Amino acid sequence: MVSAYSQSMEDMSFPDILTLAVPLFIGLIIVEMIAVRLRRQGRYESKDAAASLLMGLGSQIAPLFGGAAIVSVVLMSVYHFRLIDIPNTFWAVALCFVIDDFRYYWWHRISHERRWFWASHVVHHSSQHYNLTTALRQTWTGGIIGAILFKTSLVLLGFHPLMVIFVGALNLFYQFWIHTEQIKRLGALELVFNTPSHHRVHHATNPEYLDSNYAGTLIIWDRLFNSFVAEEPSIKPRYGIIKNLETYNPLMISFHEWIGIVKDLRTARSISDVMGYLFGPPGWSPDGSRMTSKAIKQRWQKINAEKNVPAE
Amino acid sequence: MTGNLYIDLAVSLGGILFVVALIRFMFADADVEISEQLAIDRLKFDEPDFEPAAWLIDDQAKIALARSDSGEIAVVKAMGGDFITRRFARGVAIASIQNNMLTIEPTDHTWRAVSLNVSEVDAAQWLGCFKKRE
Repeated sequence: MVSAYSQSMEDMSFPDILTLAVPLFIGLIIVEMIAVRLRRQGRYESKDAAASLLMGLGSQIAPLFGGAAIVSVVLMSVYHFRLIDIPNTFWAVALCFVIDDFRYYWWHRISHERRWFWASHVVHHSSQHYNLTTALRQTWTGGIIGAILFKTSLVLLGFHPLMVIFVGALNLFYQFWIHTEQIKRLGALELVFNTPSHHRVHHATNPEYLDSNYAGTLIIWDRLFNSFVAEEPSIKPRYGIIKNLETYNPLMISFHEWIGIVKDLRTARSISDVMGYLFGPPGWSPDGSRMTSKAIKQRWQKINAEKNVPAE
Repeated sequence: MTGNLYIDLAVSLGGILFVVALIRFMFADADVEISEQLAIDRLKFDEPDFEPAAWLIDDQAKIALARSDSGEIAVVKAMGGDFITRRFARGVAIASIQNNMLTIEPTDHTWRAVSLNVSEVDAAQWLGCFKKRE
């Protein structure tokens, strides 16, 4: 353990890549809009896009209400207890990026599998559209669910907190362009990288596609941990969430699942109900009257099996 | 970015307005009308084990209501170019009828109440599937 705080903040300086990328994002959105218009493939709707863009703006403002300060304090505190000193070199950043991508995979996976985290992440999936504005539909409540705890492992290893924050932003930057229906398949790149095709599957609510492709940049994690599903040309993805929202109101988009949790907790009759509502899979209920994604898949398999039974 | 929160916010909102205006200019806002076939197709995806036995579609073709033989209810609503669906077991959702208008109250905060015209003959059958408002 290195106890001395030997590396100064000045040694580590990284660009605010997401802020710098905003003009690029807007430019690519306009290019995609032209492509959608010319190819008549894909969809844009002004209210949906407005909601997504406002969610994106809000997600940049939300940390100013204390979250950013807490992240800094936690990461810098943990950094005092780092195992080794990792210098600010290209290779260190590259290694940090790969390890952080692995961290992102598990963080993203748990964000789909446990309601506490889903309540924040559901925002990103709440549009029935899939275009570049959807990429910017980001949560406002990421700061309150403990996301920072997942990043502490890298800091504890010895990566500087600013480097960890930088590679996290780089990962989000990468993920922007994969939110499109305009790019079909990318050949050999599909084996290693998360691509528009893989990420369309991730955003789809088709039972065949549910709970898959959690990767940030490298799809290898899904291939390694059995969560990879390839896009099938015969199964067109249908985007959104299981119970789509009847609103474009950013406040409701941001907080609807949290409101649902509070309402459910008020009906809880035992500690196990409380734990189930908070940390069970999304759709969990004590009496099983709601549908989790596992139940949806089972229903689909049952219906398919019944269809395939030959008539006597 | 300038470092001044208010200027940055104004620039960002201006950028959002510009993009949204461009979308409105390039794409007409979709306004789907629900037909029985569209509603069936949507329910087949969202609720594949729901078997509609009777249908009600409102005059503006924005809301479709389906009832199964067991008294389960499914709602399909148009929202721009998209649909939202909800399904309830018999007696779960609250409904009332006034002047031949069947109004179903939302079961949660993620959708809004729906109202449809219903004939006097059908009213009793449909209302029987709901919890009556006290």
